[in-house]
Amino acid sequence: MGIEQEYAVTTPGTNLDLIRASYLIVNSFDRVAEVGWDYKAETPFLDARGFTSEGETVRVSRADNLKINNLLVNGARFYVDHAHPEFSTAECLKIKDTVAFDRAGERIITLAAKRAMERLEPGTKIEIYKNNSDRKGNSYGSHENYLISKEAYHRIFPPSSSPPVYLLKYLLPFFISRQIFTGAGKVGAENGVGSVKYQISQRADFFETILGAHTTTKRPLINTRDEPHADRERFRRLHVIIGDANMSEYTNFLKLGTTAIVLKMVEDDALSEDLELAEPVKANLAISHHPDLKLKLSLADGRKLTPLEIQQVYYEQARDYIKGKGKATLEEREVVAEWGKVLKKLADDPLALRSEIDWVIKLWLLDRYRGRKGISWEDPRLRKMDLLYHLIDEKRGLYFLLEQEGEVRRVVSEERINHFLSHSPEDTRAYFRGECFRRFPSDIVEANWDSLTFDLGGEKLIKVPLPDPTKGTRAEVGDIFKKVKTAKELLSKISA
Amino acid sequence: MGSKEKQPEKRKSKEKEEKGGPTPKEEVIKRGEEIEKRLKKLDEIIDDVLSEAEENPEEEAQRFVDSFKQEGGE
Repeated sequence: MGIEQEYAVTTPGTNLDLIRASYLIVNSFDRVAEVGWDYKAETPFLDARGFTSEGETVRVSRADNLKINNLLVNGARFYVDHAHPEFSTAECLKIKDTVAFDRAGERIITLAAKRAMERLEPGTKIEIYKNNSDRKGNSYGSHENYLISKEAYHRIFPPSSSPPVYLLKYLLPFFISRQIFTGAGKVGAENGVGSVKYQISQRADFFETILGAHTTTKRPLINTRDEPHADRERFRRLHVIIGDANMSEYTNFLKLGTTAIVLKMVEDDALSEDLELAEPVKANLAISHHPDLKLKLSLADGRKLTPLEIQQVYYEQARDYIKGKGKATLEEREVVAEWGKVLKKLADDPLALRSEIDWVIKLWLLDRYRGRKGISWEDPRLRKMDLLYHLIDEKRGLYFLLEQEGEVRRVVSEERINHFLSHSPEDTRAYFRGECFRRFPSDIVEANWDSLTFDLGGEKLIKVPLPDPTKGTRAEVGDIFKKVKTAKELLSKISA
Repeated sequence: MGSKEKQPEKRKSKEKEEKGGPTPKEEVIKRGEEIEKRLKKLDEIIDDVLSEAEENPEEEAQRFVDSFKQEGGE
């Protein structure tokens, strides 16, 4: 699994525009080599429903490619996307490693912004925010990626002629209702969807349709981009765009963990409770706009359930699934245990989660401030606090300050986060990619998630496919790296 | 079953009282004071970040919010 985070950038008091600032940031972090991104390997317009949607294929010069992309020694991709610097974690096998890697991304972009400022006139400021909207109708994503089997993917997305019955009945209600423990919270509403003092999710105001391949217009709850970044005959990537950017490690852990388990249940056809919502897009927004969690949602079969009740059904199915599954990992067991505890606290007293769940932490902080100052929800100081919660700055970022004061629950160690600043996960193909970047940087010309292209001085470039994200681990290729001194020797060994 | 589990706790508290340590009530008060102290510190930190020392924190906050402008992404 992995996370792609688009960061917001501000340049207070300067004329530096956001696109230039994004380029400067991305190019200010350690570049291991002149490795470009292999856009030829991408299929962004293939739709899971079996057709190709309209769009332009990316064509950039080698020079521009290198300006846009900075491929890191930890196997991650740090790049410019639209007017945002974006950090895509390397592929992780463990949930907590994904959380730690995402946090390493925060540190990498902080360091990059610091170096970028040093290259500018004295006094120039660049600030980085990990959130999803500017509160003026502009949204940017925090996407999750999960590797699933081709069969499970086709269960979710049948051919275009068939309605996505499985998705609507068994999976979509999970994604819509999970915001009650994954939302990052937001003061007010935007994008012309009505008004509210405080809402659960940053992104709910922006979704307009159920399914779609695009992410910038007519934003869908479920993205149908059929781009596995792996062997199409065996795998697919579920590209999840409905989530918020999480500051809390615990929230991120629960978001990734519950979703990974539910997707395993899809693979095993273990979801049996039909929870189809009558109006999914409206339900997604309505849940967010009701932080009291009391809203009853209409189901297609006429029942009315709260988002908590819907999540309880998923939790109970997952609990039984994990219990009956001999090979469940310790992490999976931990996720299910925490999932149950969180749902209980949300039902009994949501503020009991003021150290764990982003939207509750922020609400507690805002409410405390409101009470002390005697101000209304319309006071701009609350909107400022809302933004500052997401500021990636140890001295001024409100989440970071809460963390320093021990007010929020940690899930991963500092050691693990710092490890991922310069090391890839050892249990996925990211290990092979990262080690190649570290050892043979000048021999690699292009990379994508599922390939590396070497230039060893011969007539042709040599493309090494990495079609299985679970291969190329340290256990598999660690010894080979120890024995070889050149990229040529490496390629000769692995081809043998 | 519940009462059986609670007995050792009761015994411990009684032992503490006998030894002259803080009573449960005193412990609760002490813990409350610690939380209050912690939250007060947090309030001060937040006031500092929100530029409460400035003359017009509301106006400053409005300027900050207005200047936070991004382009759509994804």
